[in-house]
Amino acid sequence: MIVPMKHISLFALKKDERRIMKALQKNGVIQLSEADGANGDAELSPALSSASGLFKTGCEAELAKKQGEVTKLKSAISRLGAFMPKAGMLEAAPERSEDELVLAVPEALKTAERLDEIQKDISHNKSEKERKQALIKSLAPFAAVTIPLSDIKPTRTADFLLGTAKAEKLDMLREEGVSFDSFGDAGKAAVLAAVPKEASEETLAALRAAGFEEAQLPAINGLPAEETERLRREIAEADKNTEELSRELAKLGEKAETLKMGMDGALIEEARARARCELFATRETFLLTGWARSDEADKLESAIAEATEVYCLETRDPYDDEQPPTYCKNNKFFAPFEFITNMYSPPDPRGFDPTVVMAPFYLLFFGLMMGDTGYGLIITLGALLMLKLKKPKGGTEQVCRILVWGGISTMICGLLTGTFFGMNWRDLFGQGFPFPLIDPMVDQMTALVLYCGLGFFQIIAGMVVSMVLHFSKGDWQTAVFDIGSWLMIFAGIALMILGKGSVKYAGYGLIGVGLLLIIVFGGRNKKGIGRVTGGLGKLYDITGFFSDVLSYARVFALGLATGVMGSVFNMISSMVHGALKGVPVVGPVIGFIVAAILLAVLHLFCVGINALGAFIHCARLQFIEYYNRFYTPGGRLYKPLSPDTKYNKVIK
Amino acid sequence: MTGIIWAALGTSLALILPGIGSSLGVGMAGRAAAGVIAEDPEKSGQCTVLQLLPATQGIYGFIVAFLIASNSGLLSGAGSSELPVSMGMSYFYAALPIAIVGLVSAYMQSRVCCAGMNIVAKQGEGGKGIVLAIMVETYAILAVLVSVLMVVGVK
Repeated sequence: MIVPMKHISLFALKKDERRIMKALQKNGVIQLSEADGANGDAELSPALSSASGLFKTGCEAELAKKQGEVTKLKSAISRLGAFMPKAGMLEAAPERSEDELVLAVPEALKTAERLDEIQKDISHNKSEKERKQALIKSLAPFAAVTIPLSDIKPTRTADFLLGTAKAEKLDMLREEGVSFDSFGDAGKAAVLAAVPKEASEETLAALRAAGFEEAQLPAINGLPAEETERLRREIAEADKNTEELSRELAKLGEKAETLKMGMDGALIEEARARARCELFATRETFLLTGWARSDEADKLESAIAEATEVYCLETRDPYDDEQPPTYCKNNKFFAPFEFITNMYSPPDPRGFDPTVVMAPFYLLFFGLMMGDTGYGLIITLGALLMLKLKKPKGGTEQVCRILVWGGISTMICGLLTGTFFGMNWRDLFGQGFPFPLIDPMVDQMTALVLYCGLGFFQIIAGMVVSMVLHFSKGDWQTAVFDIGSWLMIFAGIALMILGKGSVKYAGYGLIGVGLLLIIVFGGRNKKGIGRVTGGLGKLYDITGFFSDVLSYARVFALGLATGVMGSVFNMISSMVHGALKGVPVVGPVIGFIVAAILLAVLHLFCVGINALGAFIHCARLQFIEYYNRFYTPGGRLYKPLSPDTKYNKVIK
Repeated sequence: MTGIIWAALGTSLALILPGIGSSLGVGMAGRAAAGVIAEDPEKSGQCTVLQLLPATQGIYGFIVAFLIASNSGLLSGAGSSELPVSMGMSYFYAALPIAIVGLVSAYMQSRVCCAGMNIVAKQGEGGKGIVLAIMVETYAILAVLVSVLMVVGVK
C-alpha cells in the first residue's frame, strides 16, 4: 500500500534550528525538498522571496567542511585497510548511539591526520634516501681526495677543475704540461687539475683527450670520504625513523574502530549539513519545506516539539503538479518484496503498490525455476543463517528475507515437480512414491503446458487488477472495453474447449461479444476512419498475449536445467568415486572423501548459479509480463533525513 | 560416419561454442568490472553479478553436452558401436540450438553487462542493468530448452 505524502512547511526560530534538525534526523520523519529535485519546489518564487525577505541560508561552507571530513576519513580507512583487523564475513555491525558516533569524529580526524603525517614522513624519508644514495655514488671516485673540497677555490690566476680521468692516461696529461694532482690509482683516478684563468683551447683539449670528466658535485664541506660517512649515517638514521613510523602505522590499525565510528559520525553530520543548505531564512526565523508520511504526522509533530516550543507547522496534501516521493507500507511478510519492484522502478506516488499481488507469483515461479527440495533447504537455511549472524540492513536484508520464503517454495515445488539434490524421488523411494506429481524429464509437454498455463493465469490476474484499478478511478470504459472484452474472449475459449452442448454455445457467444466490444469500442477515442481501424488494430494485441505466455517457458527450462545440472554433478561424483574405489586398500576411503568434497562443492555452485538465475528471471517475468498490464512506474523513493551510516547500526 | 561419431561431434559443439561465447562474455564483463571496482571496491558485489550473467550459456552447453554423452553411450562406452547413424545425427542436431544461440547470446549479453557496469558506476545500483542483460538470455534459455527436449526425445 502506498502511504500518501503530506507537504510540510515548518517555520521556527533560527536559534532553535540546529536542535530541530537534529531531532528530525534522529526520528527520520521528513524528506527535505531539494533545490535540484524533480519539483524544484525549494526555489521560492522571486515575488515571495522578496516580499517575505526570505533568503537561502548560507551554510555551504559548513557542508564543504563536513564533506571534507568524510573524504578524509574515507581515504584514511581505505589506506589503513591493510593494517585493520579483518571483519568476519558473518559479523554483524556493532550498535551504537548517534552521540557516541559524533563524539568519535575529532579523535578519528586526529588519527587520520597522524596517518597523513606518517605517510608523508615515510615518503619524505624515502626520497631523501634516494637523493643521498645518488650523492654517495657520485662522491665515490673522490674518496681518496685528501683536500677538503671547500678549500678548492680559484686563485688570482688559476682555476681548479675537479674530475675523473683514466689512470693510464695520466702520463699523457703530464706530457701536455697540465699541472695536476691525482688521488687513488684505481681504473678511474680522481684528478685535481690547475689551469690558468685564460686556459688555452689546447689545455682543455688535452684534458678531454685524456678522458677527463669534470665532476658536478654539490657544495660540500670537508673531505669527500667524511661527507660520504656523514651521508651514510643520515641514511641509517632515516631508516630507523621509517621503521618506527611503520610500527606506528601498524599500530594505528588498532584505531580502526574509532575511525569507523568517526566516519559514521561524519556521515550523519554531513547529511544534516546538506539538509540545512535547503533551508530558507529571514533574520530571526527559518523555513523548512519537505515531505512527510501522512501516517507519521504525530511523530513529526512530537519530534519538533522535542526540540522547541516555538514553531508553526503547516501540512497539506500535494498539489496535482507536485510529485511527492513514494513510500510503500507492507506487513513483515510482503515488505521485502518491495525490493523486487524497486529494481524496476518504485511505483508512481499516485499509483498502486503491486507488492501484495506480485509476491505470491514471485514465490511460485521462483520455486518452480529452482525445483529441487534439497536446494530449497540450503537456500532457506543459508538465508536464515545470514539474517541471524550478519544482521544485514537495506537491500541485503530484503534479499535474504525473500530467499527464506523462496527456499520454502523451492522445497514444495521440488517435491511436486522436481528432484532432491538432483536425484529423482522415485529412484530414492521406489517407483510407488507418489511424488513428483509431474516429472518434467519424462512428461515434458505436460510440464510445459502447465507452466505456460500458470503464466497465463498470472497475466489474467494482471488484467483483473488493471480492471479493478480502472473501475476505482471511474474509468469504466477502459475496464470494460479494453480489458473485460479480452477476459470474455478467454473465458469463451475455455468454455468452448471444456464445455459440452449448450455450454459450448455460451462460449461462442462470449467470444463473439468480446470481439464485438473490441472492434466497436477499441477505437472509441478516435474519429472517422480511425475509429474503425483503431478497433481492428486492438485485435492485434492477441500476439502480445501469445508471446507473453510463451515467455513462461523459461520457468520450465530453468527448472529442468537445475534438475539436470544436479543429476550431472551426481553422475560426475559417482564416476570419480567409482574410479577411486578400485585402488587397493586406501581406495574406498579416499574415493569416499573426494566424492563427498566434490558433491558439496558442485552442489553449492549449482545452488548459487541457479538461485541467481531464478531470482532475476523471476523478477523479469513480473516486470515485463505482469506489470505491463497494470503498473505505473516512475516514482522516486522516500528517503527521509536520518542517521544513515556505513559501519555501525544507530540505536535510538 | 558412424552414429557415435555424430554424437561425439554434437557433444563437442554443445560444449565448445557456448563455452567460447561465455569465456568471451565473462572476460569482457570482467574487464569492465575491474574498472568500476578500482574506483569503488564496495561495488564489487553488483559487478560480480553482472559479470556472471554471460556465464550461464556455457553451463547450458555443458548440460546438453553431458546429456548427449551419457544418453548416447559415449560415457559408458556400452553399445556405442551399435548406435544407429540416424540417432547419432539426431543428437548432433539436438546440440545445434544451444551451440549456436549460446555463443551469440553470451557475447551479446556481455555487451549489455558492460554497459550495465556504467549504471553501477554512475548510479551505484546494478538492478536495472541486470534486468536489461537478462533480456538477452531469454533466447539462450529457449535454445537450451529445445536442445534438452530433443536430446531426451531421441529414440
